[in-house]
Amino acid sequence: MSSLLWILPLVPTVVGLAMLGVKDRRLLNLLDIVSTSTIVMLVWAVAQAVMHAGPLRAVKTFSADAVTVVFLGLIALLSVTTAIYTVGWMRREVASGGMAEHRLSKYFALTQVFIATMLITVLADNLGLLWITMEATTITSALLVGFRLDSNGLEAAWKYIIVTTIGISFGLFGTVLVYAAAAHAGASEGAMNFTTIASMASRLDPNIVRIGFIFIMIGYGTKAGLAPMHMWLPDAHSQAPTPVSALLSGALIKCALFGIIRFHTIAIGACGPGFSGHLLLLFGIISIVVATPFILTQQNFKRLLGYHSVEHVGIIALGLGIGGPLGTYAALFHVINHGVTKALVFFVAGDAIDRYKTHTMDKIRGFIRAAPYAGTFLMLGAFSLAGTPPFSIFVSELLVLKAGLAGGYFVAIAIFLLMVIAIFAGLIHHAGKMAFGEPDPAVPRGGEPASGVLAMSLLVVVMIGLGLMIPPVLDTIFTRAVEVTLGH
Amino acid sequence: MSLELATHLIDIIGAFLLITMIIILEAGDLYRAIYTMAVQSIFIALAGAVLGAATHNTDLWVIAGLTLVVKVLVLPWLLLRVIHRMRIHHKIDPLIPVTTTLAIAAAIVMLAFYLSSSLVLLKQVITGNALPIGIALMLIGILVMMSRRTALMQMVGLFAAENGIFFTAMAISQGMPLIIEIGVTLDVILAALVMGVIILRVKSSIGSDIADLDELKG
Repeated sequence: MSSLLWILPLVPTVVGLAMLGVKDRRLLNLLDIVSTSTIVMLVWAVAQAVMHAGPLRAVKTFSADAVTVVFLGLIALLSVTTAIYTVGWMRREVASGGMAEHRLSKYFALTQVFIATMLITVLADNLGLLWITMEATTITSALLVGFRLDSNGLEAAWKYIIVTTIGISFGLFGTVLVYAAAAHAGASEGAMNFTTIASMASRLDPNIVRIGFIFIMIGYGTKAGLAPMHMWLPDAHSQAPTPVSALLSGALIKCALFGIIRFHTIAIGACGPGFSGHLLLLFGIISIVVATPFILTQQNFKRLLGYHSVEHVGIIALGLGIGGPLGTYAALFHVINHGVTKALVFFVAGDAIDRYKTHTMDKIRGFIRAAPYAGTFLMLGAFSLAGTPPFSIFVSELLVLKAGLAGGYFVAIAIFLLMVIAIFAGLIHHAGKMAFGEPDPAVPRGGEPASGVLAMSLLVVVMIGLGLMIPPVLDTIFTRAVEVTLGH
Repeated sequence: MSLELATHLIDIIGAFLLITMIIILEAGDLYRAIYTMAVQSIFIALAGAVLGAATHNTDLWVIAGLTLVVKVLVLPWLLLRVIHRMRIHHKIDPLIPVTTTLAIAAAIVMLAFYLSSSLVLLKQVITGNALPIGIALMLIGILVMMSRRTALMQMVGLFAAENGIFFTAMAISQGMPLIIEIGVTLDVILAALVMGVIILRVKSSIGSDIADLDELKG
């Protein structure tokens, strides 16, 4: 079964290379869907194996435990829904001249390689490999962010690649320090492997690990979009082509959080839960607070969603920081919930922006009349992002709240609640103004691509389903993932 | 080579690394900054050779060779090519007065040494002063990036900052696994290529330096 671990990233890599020789749009879409559905099935097989036989390892470099499964599941789900969405999106994009037909194969190939790098990132057992592929995700996705070659896109791509590359150099430094600590504590074979280091974490020198974790937090925190290192995020996520935005906001920033979680586990073992937890809590609260005013005053639809990602990454960091089984559970659950909802809302935004030919929310009116499905999904997505029941984000936010109160983090929870309420009001106001009313007669009505509606419906089902109940299988995975994270 | 001699040599190389970093920081000319970065990388390769000889770790020799090829030859060549293709004038005006940046750099160096002095145990794990110098190089590299609004200078700052990380990584008693070093180096080359492509694309289609674009706000 462990060979699955290297077959998994190989699928999109091979398909991506093959795509370079394909010119036909439909065939490219088909390959995209076949590849990503295969990923879903393989991830399912990995999840089964991990649940029944425990963590998997392959060639001393790859490993999969319950935490990996959580992130693999998110990447797989978002990859396949994005592939489905891309069918209708790309048809419109080519028809309107937004995407030149001779560049299609490059776009699809890059997306596949981007997905492959994300998969390796969460499958990496070697912390050096984790860093290398994390940087590789930046390189591939920077090309996708600037794919339109317009000045805004290129500016965003430049900021993105420069800021996150320098940011995650800090991550490499932190990795080197943790490796030094492990080497000093006597690990010879595999001193860079997470499983080795985590198993001997209590023997690592806490001082070195502390300094190392600070570097990791700044480094991978930059890539995750935690404030105050988030400045590149609203630019990159708003300028990227919509399917790429969905993957960046839904999946990629979670991969960076995965890196932080790995080192969090090591830091818990070496210095107790206090140090890394408090640092996560601090960055979480800063992110939530910094994002709020920008969300309230934002006029650009996709930038609004970018700032929302900063807020929600902050909530995940807050959950991890509060810690304990409940806080960590809430954080991991929120990783899935935010990813699913954010991809949905980006899909909606893509439709709205194409229809109204503007990014400015003030100019979007009567979206439900113009596009009944996407308009309805916009309202559902907005209520979900704002944290109302019966959507899944409500459940994970409630769990963060419960864990925080139980842990005695009253100030942090008070700030969190205040911001969430403010954001709720702002978001519903924005979304309501866009969804209701009478659209301008010039705006095309109907004609929603079936693929887009299907992709969005899938995400809505997950978003509401997880809000109503967490299936026992998923609950087991999360519970195991919590144990792995806390080093039990 | 004895370990004591190696420690001594590493400290001398560290001093030269800092000096080259200061020259990059105050450089008013792109060519000078790029050539200095190449010289700095020669010192990194030297450090690899010294440590390789002292620890009998052949991986370090390979890493030294890799540094020589990639950071001394390929990257500077790439940057010079981009300058040539862009036909830009190579004088650069810093955003912050040079005296101020030099003062900040001095503060960074002192801070790095102060921080590392509290970590007694690390002294046994990392040879000589490689840790404080690595931290200082990294932070001054970021200072280079922040004090110039020129895309190429930002790239030079980035690679110089990464030299700091490489230096510390080499000096860890065991050395980094070779395959990981190769992967990291590959990332550096790919990132440089993509950055070069973006710079040239903006120059040819919009006619300005990418670092000057400032439309995305709020």
